[in-house]
Amino acid sequence: MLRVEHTADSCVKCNICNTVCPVAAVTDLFPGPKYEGPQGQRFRAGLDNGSSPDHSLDYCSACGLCTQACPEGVMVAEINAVAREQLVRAKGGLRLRDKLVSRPTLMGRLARPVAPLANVALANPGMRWLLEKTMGVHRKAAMPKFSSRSFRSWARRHRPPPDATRTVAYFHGCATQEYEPEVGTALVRVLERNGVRVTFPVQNCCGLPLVSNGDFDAARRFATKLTANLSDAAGDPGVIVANSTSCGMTLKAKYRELLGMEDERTAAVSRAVYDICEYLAGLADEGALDTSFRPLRAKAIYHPQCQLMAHGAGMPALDLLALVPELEVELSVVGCCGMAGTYGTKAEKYDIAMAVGNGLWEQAKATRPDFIVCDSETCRWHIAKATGVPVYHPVQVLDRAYQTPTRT
Amino acid sequence: MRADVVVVGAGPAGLAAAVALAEAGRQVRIIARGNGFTHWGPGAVDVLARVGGKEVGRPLDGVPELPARHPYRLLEDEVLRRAIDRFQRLAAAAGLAHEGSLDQNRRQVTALGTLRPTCLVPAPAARPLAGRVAVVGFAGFRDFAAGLCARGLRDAGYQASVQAVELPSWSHERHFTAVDLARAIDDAGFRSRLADRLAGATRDADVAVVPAVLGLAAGHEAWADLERRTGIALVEAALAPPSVPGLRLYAAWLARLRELGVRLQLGFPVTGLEVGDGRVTAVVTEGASRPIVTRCNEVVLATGGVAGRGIQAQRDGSLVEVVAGLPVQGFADRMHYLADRFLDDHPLGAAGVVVDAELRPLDTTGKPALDGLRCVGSLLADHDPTAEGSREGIALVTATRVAELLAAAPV
Repeated sequence: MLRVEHTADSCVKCNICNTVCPVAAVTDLFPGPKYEGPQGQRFRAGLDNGSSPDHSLDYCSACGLCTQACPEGVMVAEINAVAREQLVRAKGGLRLRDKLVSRPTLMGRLARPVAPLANVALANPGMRWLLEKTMGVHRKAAMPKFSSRSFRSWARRHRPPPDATRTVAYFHGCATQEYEPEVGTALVRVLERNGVRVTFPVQNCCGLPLVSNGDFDAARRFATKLTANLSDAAGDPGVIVANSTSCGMTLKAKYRELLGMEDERTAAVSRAVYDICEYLAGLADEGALDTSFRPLRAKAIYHPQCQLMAHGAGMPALDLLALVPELEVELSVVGCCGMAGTYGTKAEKYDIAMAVGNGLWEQAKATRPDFIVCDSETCRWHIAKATGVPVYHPVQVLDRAYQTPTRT
Repeated sequence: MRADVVVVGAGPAGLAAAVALAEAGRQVRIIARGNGFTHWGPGAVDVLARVGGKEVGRPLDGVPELPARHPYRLLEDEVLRRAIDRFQRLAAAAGLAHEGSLDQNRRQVTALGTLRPTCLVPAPAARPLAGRVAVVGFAGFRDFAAGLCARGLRDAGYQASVQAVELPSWSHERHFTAVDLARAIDDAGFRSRLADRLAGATRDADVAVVPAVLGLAAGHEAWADLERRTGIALVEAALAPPSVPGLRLYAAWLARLRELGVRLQLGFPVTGLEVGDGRVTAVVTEGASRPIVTRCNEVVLATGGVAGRGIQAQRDGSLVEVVAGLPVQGFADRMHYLADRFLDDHPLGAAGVVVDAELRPLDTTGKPALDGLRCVGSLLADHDPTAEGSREGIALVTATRVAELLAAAPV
């Protein structure tokens, strides 16, 4: 198994990665993926004390556009992720803020019983000022709304239709569970409309925020537990659909690439995971998708989140949205909105995240869309906050276009 | 996943083919392992600069001297004319006028102070070098050494002096590439301050050679604006990658692809094809955790030669075409790797896939290998894009040809 760091050997120093880096384009704090990644790797390689030649690598947002653009197969962003882990380890672990933002389930669970109160508190400028000063969470950063009801409380009461022809397991992740149960219910309705029965295996956070923040040991504990939880659903061959692009991506590849999990159970789970739009587009290819969408007279921008492209499955949401009559969809002009998971919430990085997404903010001003569509939750929150335009997951749009009569 | 035509590769040949095919009414998707030669090359259009090591004044004059199976001889000169016209129209519409024509090769100045022969030169590189030439370096910019460039120009007989300009204060003072500097120059305020310094440094010159960094977002506008403000002719010298002139062209192609609804899928190489009844039915891409199959009616391989990784060398010295396993015409034993000069006449440069006049790859018996499959650009055998100086010409002519062929084909 080739470790991601070894792909640095394929670097020809052409700088293509630097031309696509959205962070280096807007700040001098990050010199660019080539310098931090394959170039910096020459200085890190062989050092076992975790030291890194340059701490500016913390400003990498892990969007992964560099890896996608590299024609030589260098896993630039992944090299940076591994180096960041060494950096965090050398510093003795994550700071408190990063520990907390890396545990969305914990935050959601703590807040659920007092969700309305927590939401009021988070909307309070004084509270946000305090949060910025004490914790380093930027006062203007987009925050999700805590939900009083979790997705699973809905799922427990949900009765699947009796006439299903296929079954998939649903990895809803933390955001659907704690903040956006409406995305999960839309997803289930869309699947059931197409004769797909949805099961809800016991699950936990995939550990992605810990991976991005650089605590691989903690992430591995989440990952081990999750692959055990999902191994039945992975079946032979099972299908696990995910609506969080980056969490799905973590299951598909990051456990193997970054956490070094090469066991058969992890491999089986990774092979079974489909992004929900990838799965639905597959149904459409087979002619198995109900395409009787009602017209949706609206103008939308579709923003393919940076890490969506790392699935290697293109932009299946665009194919699906194209099936909705009268829905006008324009493609986002930026490769990354800037949020990159928890990056854009941090006090020292918020301005960078806003600058990275600027092209999209300008596009939204010029186009004046009715809504924006994006597969990833944190991006949706960030984009909605920055543009003032509602942002939906593609399945919410499809659900609306089906106009399923039994809404919950 | 499903598409009508899949173009594999996002270099000049792939991008040009995708635009031409979409304009011919096909529904196109580009799948590529990453960005390509646009970001590496100097942003000019080489058509035919040398034949047998000797420079050619007029590209078409050299064509009859080329080997019989050279792509320019497989295709008619008229196709090349249409391809160049098509390129000129696309570039001009994007504000990227190129000077020159198939009637005469021109010269493009490089960071080394050499004058590379090429056919079409971007307007910011096209001003004649005459009289007193000031070669201007920007302090802190590592990819352009004015002294080196001026020495090369003096060796070539020009009256060249060296000038240094301190950059106005900006956000990337620690470290920057040509692209960072070009983005700074896009900003009108920065540009105006730079223009004052540039005017001062070039007061006694007739023309100034500067690194190719004069703006990225708005075509050639920043260059034209700097010429107006400084009152001196500015000539952009081609640099090592990342190539700003190449990125401008890439942006123009991308904008046109967007208008045409063509999607670009970067990051995963196409690793194989699915075939039924001797015809391509799908391309297979390495996905994040399992292969991704994109069904399609036609496949155009624009994967490049050895440099583009369309062809890879095995340890035993044999060469393989990476997507379809097509036979590669190259060399049989690995002693050929030991040629003296890597860029001029290395046999790897001419290695490639043999095609017929309809750009269908041929098997070892000389018959089309697979229906629904065509090859364009540097992947083709019987030419050496670097040694001949023919890279973009081959890319454009084969892209135009493939679109003309597939436009006529029943969908």
